[in-house]
Order: sequence, then C-alpha cells, then structure tokens
Amino acid sequence: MPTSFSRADQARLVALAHDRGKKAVIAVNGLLHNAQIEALRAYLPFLQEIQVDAVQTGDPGLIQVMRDSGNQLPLIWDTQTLNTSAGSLNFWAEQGAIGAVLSNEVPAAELAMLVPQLTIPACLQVYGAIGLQHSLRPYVSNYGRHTGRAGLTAGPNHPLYLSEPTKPEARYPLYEDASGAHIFHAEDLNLLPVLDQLVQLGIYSWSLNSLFLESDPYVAIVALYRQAATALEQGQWTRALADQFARQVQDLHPAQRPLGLGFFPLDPQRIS
Amino acid sequence: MMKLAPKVPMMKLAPKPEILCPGGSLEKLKIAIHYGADACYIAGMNYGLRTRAGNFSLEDMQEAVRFAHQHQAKVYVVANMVPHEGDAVGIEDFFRSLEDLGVDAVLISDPGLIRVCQQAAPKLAIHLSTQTSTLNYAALNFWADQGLERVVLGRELSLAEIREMKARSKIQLEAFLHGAMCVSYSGRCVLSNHICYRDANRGGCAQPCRWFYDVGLEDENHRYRELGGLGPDGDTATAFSMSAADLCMLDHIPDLVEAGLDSLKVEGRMKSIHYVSTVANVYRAALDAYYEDPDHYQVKPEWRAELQKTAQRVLSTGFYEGQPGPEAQFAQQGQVDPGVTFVGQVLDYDPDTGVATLEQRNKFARGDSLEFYGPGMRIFRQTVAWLENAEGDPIEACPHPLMTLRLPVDQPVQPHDLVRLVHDAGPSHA
Repeated sequence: MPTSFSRADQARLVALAHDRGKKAVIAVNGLLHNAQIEALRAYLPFLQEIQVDAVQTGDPGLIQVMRDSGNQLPLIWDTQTLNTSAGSLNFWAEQGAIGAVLSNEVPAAELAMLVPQLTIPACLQVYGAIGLQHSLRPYVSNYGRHTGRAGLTAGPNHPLYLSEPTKPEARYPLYEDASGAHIFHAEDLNLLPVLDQLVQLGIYSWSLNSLFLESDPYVAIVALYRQAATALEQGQWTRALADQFARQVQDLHPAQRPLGLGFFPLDPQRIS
Repeated sequence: MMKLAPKVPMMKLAPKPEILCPGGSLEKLKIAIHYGADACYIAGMNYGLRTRAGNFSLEDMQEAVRFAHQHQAKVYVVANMVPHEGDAVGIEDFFRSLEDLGVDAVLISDPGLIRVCQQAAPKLAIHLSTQTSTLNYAALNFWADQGLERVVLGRELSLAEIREMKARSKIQLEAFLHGAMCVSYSGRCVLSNHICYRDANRGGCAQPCRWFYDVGLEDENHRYRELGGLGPDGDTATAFSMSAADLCMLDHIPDLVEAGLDSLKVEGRMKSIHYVSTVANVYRAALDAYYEDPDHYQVKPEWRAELQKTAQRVLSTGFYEGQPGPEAQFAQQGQVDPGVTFVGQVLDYDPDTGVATLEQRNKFARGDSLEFYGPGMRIFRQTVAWLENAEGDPIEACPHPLMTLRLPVDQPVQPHDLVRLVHDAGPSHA
C-alpha cells in the first residue's frame, strides 16, 4: 500500500468505522519475508484487540502464523494477479478465507463462469489505478544511478511515467518505496457504467483504489459509487443514471489520466 | 605399499543438492542428464508456462522417465500455469497419466490445481512453483502441511534468509542457480497481459520488461516533461528498461550448499542443447569438486570460460548477496559475445582411424577451428584438416542442417560429445 497508518491511527480508524456501522479491513498484502513474519506475531494480537473485521493478505505465511499462534482473524485472500479461477479461490476458502479479491485480468465472460462456483464472496476492483508489476528492485534509484542522476526519487504523489517510444500517449506511472518498484497501467479503471452487470454476475463487493487522487475527489467518487449501489439495490438503475454517474466520476478524476473498463469487456480469446 | 588415508573434510557437509536442468525436448533432456544433471523438468503439451518451448507428448514423457531413471536421474513435469476458467480441462487425466508413467513430481503454481492433483493422483509428489513467490518460512510450513514435497523459492531472497528458512521449515527447498530471471516478483507481473494481451501467467509473456522506454515526469500543473528515453537514432543511454541480468552462482556453490538447498535449478526450457550441456557440465564439475575437497575448493578458470560460451547477457548473483544494482537491471547494455557457435554433435568415433562422425547443427568448413567438449569437462581444440560427407566424398564445407559428415579428430571423442566453431581463430569457407 502506498500509505501506512500508525497503530494508534489504525485503532482510531477501526473504531470510527464501527461507530458508523461500517467494517474495517486492514491490508497485510505485501509479499512477506522472514523478518516480517516475526513482526506479524506481535501485530496480530493488536489487530484482535482493535477488533478489525478482517485482514487482507496474499501470503500463506500469515495463515500459518495465525494457526501457530492461535490468533485467528477473518481473512480475505488477495494475491491480485493469481486469483483467476474458482478452484484457486475455493482452496483459500477451505483455508478459512471469508472472501477473495478477483484478479483485474478476468473478463466478464470468464467471471460468468467463475463466480457461480465460488464458496465465498468475491470482491472486484471497480475504480482506480491498475497495478501491473511489483518488483523488489529499486527501479527509480537504479535508473538515477544509471543515467548520472544520483538521488532520483519517485513516490506515489510524484511518480515517473514510462511510455513506449511508438506510443507516447500511454504513460505508465512508476514509483518506488521501501517495498520496491510499482508500475501501473496508463489507464485507470472505472466500472461504474457496468455495475449492473457486476450485480448480475453476483459480485457485490467492490474496491476503489485512491492512488494518484487527492482526498476530496476520491471521497466524492466513493459517494457516487455508493449512490450507484443504492440505485441498483432499489431497482432504479437506468442507462441515463449510469451515464450521469460516469460523467461525474470523469469530472472528479485527474484530467490527465484516462479511464476505461480494463479487461472487463474483453473477449477471452483475445488474450493469448 | 602404504595406503593413503581417505580425505576427511574439516566440516560436515549438507547432503549434496541435485542439479536440476531444463529439458525443453527429449534430446535436451538426454543431453542434460548425459552432461551431469541429476534431474530435469519438462512440460506436457498443455498447462505449462512456456507454450513456445518444445513440449512432451505422453509417449515422449514415458521415454524421458525411462532414460532418466536408467541414469539415476529424475523427471519433474511442469503444470505451472495460472488457469482461467476452462483452461484446465482434462488436467485430472493428465495428472493420473503422470502418476502412471512414474514421473517423479509435478510442478504446480495454482492451489486449485494442487487440490485436483491430490485427488486425481494421490501418489504424485507436488512441487510448488516460483510463480507463487514464496519468501518466508511460515509459508513453507503452510505448504508442507498441505502435503507438498518441495517449494521452489522466490528469487528475492538472500542467502541468509534461505538459511533461516531451511532451519525453520520441514520441506525440500529448490532455488535458482543459473539463467534468465524475471525482474519482478514472479507471478505478479501483468505488463505483458495489458500491453500486448499476452498472458504472462499462462505461457504468453512477451517480455516487455526488456524493451526500452521513454521516461518523464509531471510538474505540479501536470505538464509532462521528458527525462530520458530512446533517442531517434536508437541511443539507449537514457532509456529506461527492466532487463534483468542473468543469474550465475558459480562463485557461490559453497554458500548454496551451506544454505541447505535440496535442488539447484537452471532456467531455460527454451534454450539449446549447447546451453544445457555446457551449464550442466560446469555445475556438475563445480559441485563435485566442492564435495570432493571443500576445504580447498576454488572456481576454476575453465569453468568460468565455459559459461561465457553460452552467455547472452551480463551475469549477476540476483538477490542472493543483496539488492541488485543498475548493472543488473540494464542488462541489454552489457550483452556479451560468446566467441563460439554450436555446430555439431558426435554420433560415432572410430579409434582405429581417429575419425569422428558428426551431425551438423550449423555450418563450418575445412580450416576452421573447432572445439570438442564432453561430460567431465573434456575439452580440446583443433583445426579441421579435412571433411567428407556420408558417402565418403571430400567436401570443403558442411552447409546443410543435420547432414552427416566425417573428420579426423586429434583426441578420442564419444557419442554425444558436442562441437563448437571458435570465432576469429581461422578461415571459414562456409
């Protein structure tokens, strides 16, 4: 995650969510090395104490630590790119996961086959930056040293942009932090126009990524998605309403970053 | 005669790890084992990650297992794709076939397929692919409790981390020894998926990490400014890339052994028999030398020279000794010339006449300098004095792929010895 919160803030935010009748999930979804496993042993009792509703992870090391220590917490399984089939997600359900995050690279036609077979609810990213690659190598620092720009940095608030020389209009954000280098798609995701299809597919848990956004527009976009969800729940969803919400999201979204439907509408045969 | 006391090493060594080589085809598998591999990994027609590699029919797998077991070697079959719905049709029968053939283990990434395999072929050992990026001992113990035999570790581990993982886990560990590397966490890169619509986790990776990119940034008003990139004349000096240098752990055999690894893996199912024979030969020699006399172990210059003959990119030690720097990321800039070309395989040798029969794999000519090599690091060079074709007619050159030819050799050779043309060492009429 591009931002982290202190333990005091975590406790406060979980309590704030509960006060408003909401749930709080804490992401422990980095790829964990031995040192982090040790840190987890001290962290899990804290999470139990603040009554977090679930932890989100893609590392079975966390599951093993919970089993070894007896500090069981509700778990949402999230390996991002690897969650592409019902068989895989149901395996994690067997391991105790209460939900799973689907990969962004599963088109709607495949979701139609996958979701009905799931034994746990599935969550899908519907808005925001699409992660393409995570490396432990310090790409930005290395590039700086390679080109004589010692001290070159790029964080989530001021990334570098990569583009193919033949397609300069597509700019892929790159930033580097303590966990390495992160590359994102040139186009951000906005599935608001197809939320009705997600509901028909049985996907009722939606995640929104705030990366590269200021707080106020992000909160406003979340509010729009909330309104869209309410409209769907109440049977008031129309094409005109969807288009209106989509325009409003577009207006709030950073102007220099295009929005699209990602893999959702793709023909699976197009991917080789 | 006084009997010499056997050498006793000062330190107690861990059990010798296996050298695991890629078997991109039946021929490559046989060559790898002939040149010293303890095990080979191969793929069937479906379910693997190298759809463009040579893949094995069940009949070929049967022969692979027969040959390997006859030579006290093992065969692992890869089924390590990350499936989407509909991709794994028929995989239960595939796993059952592997079990029936006596395949020593199957390599899987996807936990759904692990369950399918355990139900369909309960006696088939399962190894967990590096695609899962397993990087801590707790995860190892999780997979051990799931009944897996081995985990192929993620590449982002130091030797110290691996030592700790071995000490605190109860499962076999396999790690990479040599070859090309992914620059990102394995399994977590979808650059190819989104840029080229080729799925990296289903064998389609187009390797956009190795391309050159322009680089820019935005000011506070979101105006874009270029920082560097590919120049109009192809100048790459300021271009961005993620082309990881290849891995070579020749200088760290003792460290890998002492880390407790059970298997040392060479990457490259798509690579040639020249590559797999050379790499297997060198690491066999190095590992055996270390176990023969660990207190006086030294890397021999000829081992290093042999690996250079297969090198495509600059070499590095990956994450084993710490975080790789820029020289290991911009590896196109350091591409090397191996100095040789693979040109043939020995089919037969007549000790009475000193004449070898070869199968051509690339053209060469009378007067060229050739290098013959075989298992056990047998290597010698000579000039081609004369050539004749299969009918016994003298020829000046052998331009036709797979043609049979004969030539005199200065030293005895054996079937499956291989031949290189040495560049810049003599005339070539080819």
